Amino acid sequence: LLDFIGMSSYLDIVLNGVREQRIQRGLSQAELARALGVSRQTVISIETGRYLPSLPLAFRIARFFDVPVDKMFDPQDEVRGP
Amino acid sequence: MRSIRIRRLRVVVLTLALVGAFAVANGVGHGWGVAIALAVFMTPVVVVNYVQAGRDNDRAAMMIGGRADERQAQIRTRARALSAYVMAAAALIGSLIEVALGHTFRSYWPIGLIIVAGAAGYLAGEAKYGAAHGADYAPGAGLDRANPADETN
Repeated sequence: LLDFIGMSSYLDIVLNGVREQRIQRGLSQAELARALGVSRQTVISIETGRYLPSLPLAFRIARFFDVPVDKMFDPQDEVRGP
Repeated sequence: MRSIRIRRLRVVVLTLALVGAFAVANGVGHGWGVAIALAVFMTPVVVVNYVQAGRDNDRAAMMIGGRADERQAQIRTRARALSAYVMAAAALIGSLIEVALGHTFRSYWPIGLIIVAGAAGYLAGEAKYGAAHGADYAPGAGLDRANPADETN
């Protein structure tokens, strides 16, 4: 059904280095969320790869951690969700 | 945030009060009966709505529209799209059943109206969000046709 109505892409999982970078800097998920202007739930979803952020948010994350965006979100790490 | 919750609550209560008043004024469903039933069934809905809206979770952010970030807005859009699909499917099935039972269009025109309104809404959405200006108008589109050498890449 999800394929039929074009929503299956939501199940794609993209791995990234957000969690790693956040822990390295000793930040909590709530602190990172506040800094990025998103909810804590969104930070959790990005970290676990359940949500692929928009381009502006991806750049915001990369700038915040001072890491190139293609290093933060490596398309080679993309895996298909269940 | 509290004021947004209260404002939202006020809108819900006001809408329900209007529906109830309309029912009483027109004697719909035995007048007061509908108004009382509305109050009994909707009071818990209003309370749950208020309590949920104050929590730190996705549902709360989506209920209080202004608090939703891009992911939550996307969830809300997809949930709305899914509910529209389900409503359209239910309306279609309902109208088919009405036809199969041999009822006249006079008895099931509201279902037809839902289907027509859904289709019109979809077309309006396509027009508003740019489907009418397809890829052919994008910069560089059709380049491969003008220069077949581009197709080698």
